[in-house]
Amino acid sequence: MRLLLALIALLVLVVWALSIGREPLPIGQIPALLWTPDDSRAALVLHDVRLPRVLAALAVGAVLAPAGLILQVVTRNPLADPGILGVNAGAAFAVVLALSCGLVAGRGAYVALAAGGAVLAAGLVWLLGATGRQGPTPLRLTMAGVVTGGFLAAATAGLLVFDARTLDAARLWTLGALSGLRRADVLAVLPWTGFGLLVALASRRQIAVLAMGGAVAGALGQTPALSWALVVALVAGLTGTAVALAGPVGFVGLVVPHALRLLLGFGGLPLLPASILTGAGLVLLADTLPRALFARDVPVGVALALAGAPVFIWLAVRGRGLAS
Amino acid sequence: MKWLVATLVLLVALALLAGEQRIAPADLIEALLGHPDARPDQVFILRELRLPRVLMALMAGAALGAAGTICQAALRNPLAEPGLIGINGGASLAVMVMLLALPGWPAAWVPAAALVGALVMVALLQLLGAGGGSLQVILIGIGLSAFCGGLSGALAAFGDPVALQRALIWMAGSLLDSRWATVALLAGWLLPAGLVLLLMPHWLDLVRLEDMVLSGLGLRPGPLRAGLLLLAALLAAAAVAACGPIAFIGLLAPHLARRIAGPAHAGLLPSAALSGAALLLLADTLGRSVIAPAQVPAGIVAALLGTPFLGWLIYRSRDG
Repeated sequence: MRLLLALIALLVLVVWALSIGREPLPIGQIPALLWTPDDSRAALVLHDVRLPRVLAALAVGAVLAPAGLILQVVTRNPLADPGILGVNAGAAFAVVLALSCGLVAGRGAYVALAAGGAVLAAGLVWLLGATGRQGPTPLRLTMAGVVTGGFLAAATAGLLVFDARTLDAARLWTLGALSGLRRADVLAVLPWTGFGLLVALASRRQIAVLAMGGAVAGALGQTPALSWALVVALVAGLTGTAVALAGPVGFVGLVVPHALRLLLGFGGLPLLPASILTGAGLVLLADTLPRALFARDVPVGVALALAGAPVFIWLAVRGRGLAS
Repeated sequence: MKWLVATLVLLVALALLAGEQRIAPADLIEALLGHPDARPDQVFILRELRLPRVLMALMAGAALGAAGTICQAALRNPLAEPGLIGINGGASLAVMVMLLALPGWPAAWVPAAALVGALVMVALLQLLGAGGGSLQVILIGIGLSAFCGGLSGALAAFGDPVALQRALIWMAGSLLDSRWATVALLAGWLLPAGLVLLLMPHWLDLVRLEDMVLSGLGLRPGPLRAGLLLLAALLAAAAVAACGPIAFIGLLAPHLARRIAGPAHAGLLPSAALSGAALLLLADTLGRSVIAPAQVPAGIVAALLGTPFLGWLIYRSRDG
């Protein structure tokens, strides 16, 4: 029932977002133009400019929020997020590296590259922050993520200094932005988004068992190493599809699970379906609101950092014993 | 310490010789002293371009190294650093505000703006982190840093393109804009802080003790730590104002210095300042000469050199 209400709210948000832009487009006309496009300029704008952008925003949010939720559950770390843990930066680095070597054709190829980079970054963060007797404490994992992300971001910036052509293509993208996406780009990535979400929903049980710790998971007949590999591949794949579309966008995965927990009164993996819808709505809102209010295109990564960093600070302030 | 000074002298010589236009060691002395036989183009390159740049790198690096040492002692955490806990972020946000939202203000106000930003950040850290441990202060600092980054990005999206171009070059953390005027400005800001720093080693040794011990000695730990962080903010803000937000030098320098001079701050503080100066000079020289004529900003080189070291520190502490 709640999911149904959320779905309706999301649809309303989508129609509103489609009406925002440089050319005024009355909300009343939008449903009709969506189903039966005519040759008018309005239909062209709607189908070739606004719809791809709205779909991309939905897809980015829909994967990043569950990726953050899964990370928080399996690392038992309330501060986990693909952006903070440097996974986004790894994905972005891989894409920029391939771009500057001239190896990439089309957004579809971005997905595999970004996912590969995300896996490598996640492995590095895990090695630095979660091995050893202490295990993955929030502080160590966060520090490892910040360090890995800092290195990969600097390496990305260094690559872009060499290569002015790639810089032009990738500058906005490295901030996390949805402007300038073409319809073909979005259509090339969307199947992967859907596939990743299906896998995430289907493997909820495995993730829940893994979150109970290696010993319990082993006793329940799971091979922890295999499950870890599944989770890392899943989170990296989800993050990769988002980075392929919008570049490194942070804080969605942090904010959405905590907001939902406060709102609904329960946490953990049962939030997965709700987090998909809420994440989609949040990114769409963050992308559309600055254009609606100020008529300026603020990169969505920037808007989300403004909304998400206070949540991170609030969590750190509230969790007195958190960092021990 | 002897080795450190020798390395620094070597690095300075290297930085003066290397670059897009190589200068022979024999010509260096002549050109610097203004010998009548010296080639005028080399005199100009050395005196007006490289020398101020080297001095900027030395001063800013020393300030960052000292600020990092103070942060690590005051927060009792070997991973604390002005960049990580948001002091650099606050300073650079304030400078962005000045460059983008208040165009027309003279450049002499940039250090003042950076200082205000850094101080606000220290105040926020104290306010939000009150009652929590130093680990929590670091997490809060990471959050504040990200928030400042977001605000800077939003300012950039709304900014006037011409002012934005200037702000973006500065934001990358580069020593490109080194002139004698900026050198003088930085020296003017760092001199008083440096004098205060001479009185500090004793306090820094004390502040590494636990709060309870400090109270037992009749000291008030809260104000003491806050005061030291203010000093660190002053140093970091001067460096940020001069060459943009440069991270990881403030972290790396104290660790190098600890290996050279041991844990007592009487030796640690000067060693950290010297190491910071050497590191930033190295980063800048590498960045501008390895792939000349292209210039990699010193901030990027410093991050590439510093993060692997920080990662190794975290990895090494895994069983601690």
